[in-house]
Amino acid sequence: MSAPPAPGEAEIAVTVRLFAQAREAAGTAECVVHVPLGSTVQDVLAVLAEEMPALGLHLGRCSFGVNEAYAGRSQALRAGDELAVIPPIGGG
Amino acid sequence: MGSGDAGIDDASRRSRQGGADLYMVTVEPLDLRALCERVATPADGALASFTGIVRDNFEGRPVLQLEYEAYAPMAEKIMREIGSGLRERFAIGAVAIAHRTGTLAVGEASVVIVVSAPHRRAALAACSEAIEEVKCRLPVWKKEFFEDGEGWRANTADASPPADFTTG
Repeated sequence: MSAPPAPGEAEIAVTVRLFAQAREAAGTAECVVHVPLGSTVQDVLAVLAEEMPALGLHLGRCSFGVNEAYAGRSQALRAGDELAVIPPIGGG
Repeated sequence: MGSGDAGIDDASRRSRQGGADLYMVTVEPLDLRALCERVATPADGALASFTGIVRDNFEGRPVLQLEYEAYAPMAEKIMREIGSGLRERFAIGAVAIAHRTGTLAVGEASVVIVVSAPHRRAALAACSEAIEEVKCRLPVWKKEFFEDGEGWRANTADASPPADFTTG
C-alpha cells in the first residue's frame, strides 16, 4: 500500500448493496459512495441518509455486511469494499 | 429416517470420499430427496431433515404467495459457517442447507436442511440448531403477498441478527 495522502485529499469508492425494503426505499439495488480515506461503515451510512432520505429512515433498523461478512458500524472501509445494507432478515 | 431409507449406492459411497456438504441459494425448487442422497453415507445410520414450507396464512390472514430475496454469496458463506459450527459441536457426517429465492406458492419449500450422522441424537440436534441459526443469521428477506397488500416480514425477535458481528 502507498502512503496515505493528506486528509481531505484522498477518497475511496465503496459499493453499496441494498436489499428488500432498503432497496425499495432507495429505488436501486446498488450504488457507489465516495468517502474520505479512513471512513467507516457509519460514515457511508451518513452519506446514504443524506442523499437518499427515504433509505435513511430504514438504516436504524438494519445490520450491515462488509465483503460478505457481518460488520459493525465502526468498521473501517477500504477502497473497493462492498457494504451490504441488511434489513431485518426473514429467511427460513 | 434410518440409513436403510437413504440406500447404499455408488453415489453415496463416492460422496463419502470428498465430503458431501452442500450450501446453496437457488431459484430452483428444492429437492429434499436429492439433498438426502447427497449427505447420506454408509457409515451414517441417521438422516435428519427440516423443510420450511410456505404457509397459507400469517396469524390468520390469508397469504397468497411469498417472495424471497437473498444476498446469495454472503448467505452461502454463512451457511458454510453454520455447517462448520455444527460439526464442531455434534458428531455428524455431512450437512446440506439450501434456501430458495424468488416467488414461492403456498406449499412450496423455502428451505431444506439435511444432516447425516452415525446416530439419531446428533443428527436431530444438529438439524434443529441449523434451522435456528438460518433464521437468525442468513441475509434472506421474505415479502408476503396478501389479497389486499404486501409487506416484508422479519423473523421474530428470538431470531434476530447476532449481537456480536464478528465472523472470525
